[in-house]
Amino acid sequence: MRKNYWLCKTFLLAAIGLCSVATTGYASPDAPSVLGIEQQKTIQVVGTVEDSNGVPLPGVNVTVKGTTNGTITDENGKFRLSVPAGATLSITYIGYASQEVKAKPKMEITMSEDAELLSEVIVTGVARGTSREKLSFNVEKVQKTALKEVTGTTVAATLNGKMPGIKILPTSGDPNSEPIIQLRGALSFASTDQPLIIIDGIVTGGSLKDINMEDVENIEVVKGAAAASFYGAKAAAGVISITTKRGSGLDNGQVDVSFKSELGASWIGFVPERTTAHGHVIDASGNITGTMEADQIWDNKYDMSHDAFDDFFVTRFFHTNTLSLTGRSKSGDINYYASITNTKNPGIVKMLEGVNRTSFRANMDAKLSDKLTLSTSNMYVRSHSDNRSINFDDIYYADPNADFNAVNLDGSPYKVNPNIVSTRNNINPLYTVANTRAEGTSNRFLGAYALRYQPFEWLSLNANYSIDFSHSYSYYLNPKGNLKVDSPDGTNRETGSISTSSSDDFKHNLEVGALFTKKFGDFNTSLKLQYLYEDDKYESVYGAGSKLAVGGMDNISLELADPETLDINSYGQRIVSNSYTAVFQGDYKDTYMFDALVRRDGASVIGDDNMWNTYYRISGAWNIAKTFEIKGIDLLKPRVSYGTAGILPAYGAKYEVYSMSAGSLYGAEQMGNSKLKAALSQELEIGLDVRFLKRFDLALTYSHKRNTDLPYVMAVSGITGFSYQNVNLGEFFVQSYEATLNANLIQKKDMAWDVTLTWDKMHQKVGELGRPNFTSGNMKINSNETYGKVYGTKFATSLDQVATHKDIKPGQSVEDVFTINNYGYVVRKDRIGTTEETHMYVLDENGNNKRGYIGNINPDFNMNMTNTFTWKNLTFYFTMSWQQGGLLFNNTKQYMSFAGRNAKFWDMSDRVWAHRKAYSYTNQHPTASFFEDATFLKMREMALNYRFNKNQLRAVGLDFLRGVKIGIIGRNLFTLTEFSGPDPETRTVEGGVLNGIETPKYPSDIRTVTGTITIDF
Amino acid sequence: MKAKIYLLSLLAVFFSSCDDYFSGMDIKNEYSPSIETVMGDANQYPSLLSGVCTSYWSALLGWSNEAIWPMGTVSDQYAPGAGNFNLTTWAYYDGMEKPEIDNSNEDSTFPKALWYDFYGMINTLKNVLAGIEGGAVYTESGQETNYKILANAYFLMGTVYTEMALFFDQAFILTETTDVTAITAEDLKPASEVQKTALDYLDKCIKICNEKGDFENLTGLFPNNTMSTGNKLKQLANFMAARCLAYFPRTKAETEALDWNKVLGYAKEALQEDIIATLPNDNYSQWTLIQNASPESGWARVGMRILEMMCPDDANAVWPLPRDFDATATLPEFTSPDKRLVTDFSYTPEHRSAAGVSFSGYQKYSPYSITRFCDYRFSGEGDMYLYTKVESDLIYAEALLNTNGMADAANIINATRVGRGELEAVSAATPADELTRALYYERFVECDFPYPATAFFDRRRVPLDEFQLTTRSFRQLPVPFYELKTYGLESYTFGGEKDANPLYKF
Repeated sequence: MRKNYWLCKTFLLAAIGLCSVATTGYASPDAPSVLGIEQQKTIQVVGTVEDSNGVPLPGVNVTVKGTTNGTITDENGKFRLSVPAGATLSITYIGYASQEVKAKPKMEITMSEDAELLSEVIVTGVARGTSREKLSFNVEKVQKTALKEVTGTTVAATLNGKMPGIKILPTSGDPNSEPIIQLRGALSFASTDQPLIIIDGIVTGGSLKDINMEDVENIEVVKGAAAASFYGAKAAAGVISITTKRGSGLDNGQVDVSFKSELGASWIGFVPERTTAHGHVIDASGNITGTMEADQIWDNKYDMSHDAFDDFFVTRFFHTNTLSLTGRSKSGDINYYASITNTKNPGIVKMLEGVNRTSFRANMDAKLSDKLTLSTSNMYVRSHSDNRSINFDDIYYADPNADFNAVNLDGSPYKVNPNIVSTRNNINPLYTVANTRAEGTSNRFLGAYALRYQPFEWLSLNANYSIDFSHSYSYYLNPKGNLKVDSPDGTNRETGSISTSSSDDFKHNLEVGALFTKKFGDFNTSLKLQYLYEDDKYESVYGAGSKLAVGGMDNISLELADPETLDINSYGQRIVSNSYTAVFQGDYKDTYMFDALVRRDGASVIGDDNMWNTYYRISGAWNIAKTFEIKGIDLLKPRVSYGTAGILPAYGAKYEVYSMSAGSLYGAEQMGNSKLKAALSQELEIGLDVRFLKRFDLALTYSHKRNTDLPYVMAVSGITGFSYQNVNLGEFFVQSYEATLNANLIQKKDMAWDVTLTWDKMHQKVGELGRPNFTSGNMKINSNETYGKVYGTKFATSLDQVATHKDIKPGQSVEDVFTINNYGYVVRKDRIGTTEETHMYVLDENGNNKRGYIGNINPDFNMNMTNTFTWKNLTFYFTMSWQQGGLLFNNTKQYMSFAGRNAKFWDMSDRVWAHRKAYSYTNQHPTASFFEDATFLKMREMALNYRFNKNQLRAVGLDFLRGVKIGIIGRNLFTLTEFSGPDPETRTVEGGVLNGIETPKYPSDIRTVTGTITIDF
Repeated sequence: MKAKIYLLSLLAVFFSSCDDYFSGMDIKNEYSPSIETVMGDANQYPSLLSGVCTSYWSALLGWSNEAIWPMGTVSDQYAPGAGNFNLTTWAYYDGMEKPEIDNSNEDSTFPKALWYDFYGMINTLKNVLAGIEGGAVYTESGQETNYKILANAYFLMGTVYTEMALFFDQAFILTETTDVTAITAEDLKPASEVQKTALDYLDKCIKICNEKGDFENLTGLFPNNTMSTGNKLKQLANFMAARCLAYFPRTKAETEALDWNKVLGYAKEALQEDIIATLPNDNYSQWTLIQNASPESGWARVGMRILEMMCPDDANAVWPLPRDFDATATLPEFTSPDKRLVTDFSYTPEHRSAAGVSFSGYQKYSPYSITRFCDYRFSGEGDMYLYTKVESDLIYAEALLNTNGMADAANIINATRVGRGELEAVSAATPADELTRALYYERFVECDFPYPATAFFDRRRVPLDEFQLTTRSFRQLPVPFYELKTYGLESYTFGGEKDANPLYKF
């Protein structure tokens, strides 16, 4: 490997330079204080600042408007300030609406929480923190109320339903799983690209679920290239930026300790309806046999006094506890935040332990001098997960009254073969759980260290270094001696198998930058220059073997396996990126906003001929309400932004590869591609931000994305000896329409009601494919056609649909052979009413089953509503989501139908005799029968919280407490839908593509109700 | 000053250790070698040859290569269950689905996967041969032993081109001197030229084996040491050459024109043992068509045509089953004068398909499953067959039969006909047609199950109409659509109406 000393040298020089400037900073401790400005004809103001609940607010900024003269409130919310007579005071505090009031000797100021959408300060993708009022492109932010009232279990869960243009699609309900996050649709028809994750300004590569939501201060979301160009070649799928707590808003000397506990239960929200009837012979003893009855009709009822689902899906207890410490030194030079959180989420399946996660965080900002600040952020999280896998077919195929808790012939629990009628001889899933071991342990450390040096008011230099290291280990043991479902007496037992894997991922980034901020008359300008080095190295080893030497579950060593069965392999990858960014941001009188960005980006995973790429953004906005006075409108800001961003190819895609295994080289596999590019996304975003009647904020956004150079695995000519090559081809368009309306419906001293509505609609289209049209599952991927259209077989309902059937002999008409049965389907005349009666499929001109158009998997629109109602100390909060339309293939239903378990198709017990159909009729599975409308209305979060303030606590002798909050939280309390599968929101990733299919798996529609208590000391 | 010294010391330590810590963007792929890495050292060539052996085995038998499986059903050797993978049965009735190869879809695995597999192997062998020709030296104990590399590479090149010649109507011929980037559509050569190339390579292998004697061959090639010596390699090369000649005819007319003396020359020097892998063996796939034909887990069944042949006096053993055969019906156990009906097969009428009953029972139904050749089906242990000595012997017998060696041919046929089947012996006095019928009977029962393409080759070339491929069956494979498109050629295919032949409409 070529060694790269220049980078080391550059960094060394930069660091030495910083060091010398830093020490210069130390040498000037007597810089003038902002509080030391002399005033004339002054009055002394003494005041108190409280929130709407009467709780004193410490750390509130109180300044004389237009000057730097100011102070902050103490721990009792009090301040004292000398001001010129007649001065106006500006009162600002993060999370609360700013106020301007005339100075008086005695003042009592009540601050209300800031629910104005457009006043939020955005820090993602911009040169410096900027209010949304002055932003010329769209960046979403999770409202503080949402974070405060219902702390999400994960970042992804927190984002769900909070903003337009974002879809959080669970691929499983397993507590250790992560959903797919889609921002403004897909990037391509051939990949499922995930947003870039940034934590405290650091581009990370690890799992989002490691982030402890109790530590999170802010979450911002950038949905497309028009805003995400700042992050260049990795940002075309959007950016999720998380900022953690730091204690920066506290008063000098203030130390807050907080303990929060949440305890509750989770249970399954929906199980698919099974037939409770069967078509099997019942013997003389009244027992069901495995033999089908002559009539082959599913109309004999099971004894449903026992339900297999109840054995399997059970209510489990969930808890999370957090202890946090937030403080600021007496001098005010150091602020810090530290926390410990433990979460245990076992899921909803009996005996499975789910995940147990403990996270530690320690953040600190230290002002080393007036000009030099050191910031550190440290996170360590340890996750322990139960990886015992269950084939969910086993539960959906099982006899509906199977007794999973019955004992085996040898007396061991969980009878291995609990089914009598099950056509598939499925194993008892609880036997698998009870008799296998599989665990995963993951340790992750994320540390970020930043030095900021501000030699002049207009210049700030920074150097940041971060480490994101994770180690994961897992094993799986299927012990020797376990029973087999086809040999329940133990005659033929499992010989056992074992596997273990270990991986390390070490990512480190180095960033140096400079921020120039200068005001030229009425022009406010900022220029940020940044160099970023990113380096991500992953290595793993895996071993597996079978025919174990000993039985039982006490040993998990690979040495147990027969050496001849051992399969050992290793893998590694390293991705290095460099980028140079310049972003300019300016405005004239806060009225005309302009932003321009250019980024030069290089990455090792791109083909050598195209390794460096340039991304850019240009945007502008005009606050018309500042130019023209329009009654009732405080902000009227049209904005337009155009930007580009990319998606890197997968590691290894550019290389020429010979496949190898177990000491043999098999031959050429992947043809190299030195011209391989990063995918490119170009986005035009047009929007309008409006604040009207002082209580409504409206944001409208239209986005048009054109994604090109899409990653695609293309077969190559066979004679090259290679099988395939990674190439770039095609184009993919996404048009999205988004709206957010935020309304402060009630703003009174003791009562407030805020509502946020979001709406979005998307249209995705394939452009020129650059290859012949093809199918992906049931989807047709055709050039210049709408993306998401699905095709499949259907039952015929009119005779003309079967006119080409081969059963129609010469001289016969379709009417001679076929007729319509009492369900309205075409069947053969001679078979109607017999056990051979079957549906006919709609046929094409050649007499083959026709794959006709069924519908589109994309929803017509999505809506979300968040409500926060506060009355005195009581807050009621909820978030609801509505998806209208969009087809979803109910694969669970299809699986159950294949197994004779689906109630709709199979259960004939409640039908009149003439409508009872036999096995051949019910056991038919056209595609159209399983595509269902996935419209739903979900209650995502609901909370009722009451906060006892200091006065109330003092009254009962708890004066050592600052506050206590108790509440009840419900998550995913109900889903209203016609979709008959486990969850209308779930999706499956197949071949790297997110398709319109749900499939039998850990159900994701899970209800959770918890009680919470937060004690602030 | 002290602070500066501390800080500089810290930075000095930090950067003195940063050689590997920071990197440029010229990252090498350390976990997958490139061709330069692989071909740079001749001592890696045995590993490459081993890889080709494994790839060849996998292409012919491996579970992942479903492209070979249609051969099992087009030849009526197997009947599929519910139409899984490519086990679609080609129907015999007018108006039924057309047994035409879909060669208009570039993503279709059949026949594309075979083409790609074979050219993957050919390119590796081509590079190895070019490496030796370019001066690479393979040594053992300090001695140059390039002949071992050459003998094995020639054998494998001849073997892969044999399969290409047997399957495809035309192909590109790549040798150690071919510049792949200069290939054009004009370089497509008919199967007869591919066959000649295969034989040339096999002859080169045989020549080295003759010159070097019974040398200790490279290890890690075909399983169970079936290539472990020079003599065994020579037997394999002779067997492959015999296959290449005997199985090449696409019709019975072409069979009649065959130079059987040439076949005889190779066949008499051919296999002395079965080519088998004893599992478990890491590099040999276990999930094969035979395993799927097994009664316990399979989708595939023994073809009704085989059962009808073995049970001539049983009225229930009908092939093809009538069109109105009930999809849910079962047939009773058959009776046969051939003992192998009970030793090699099992009556499993209750087992139709793991995925439910056949969609079209009369096409796909069979009440029998095979139990022979798949003893690894339960635990992944046991013998997995590719070629048998019996197959080699029967090629020899067929060559004898066509070169007036009736008595010897009859003896070979009787070895299994009488020895295993306990059927009436044939002799030199048996009429020629009867001897041919008996010979092919043995081929279908004894050696056409492990590698299903063997049954396909037998059906298309058999000189007896009653055993021929049915009407509208394809008799060879077209160049895959994707390759045709790459070289600007029109798509074409085989099978279907254009191959309809009333002679073979049974």
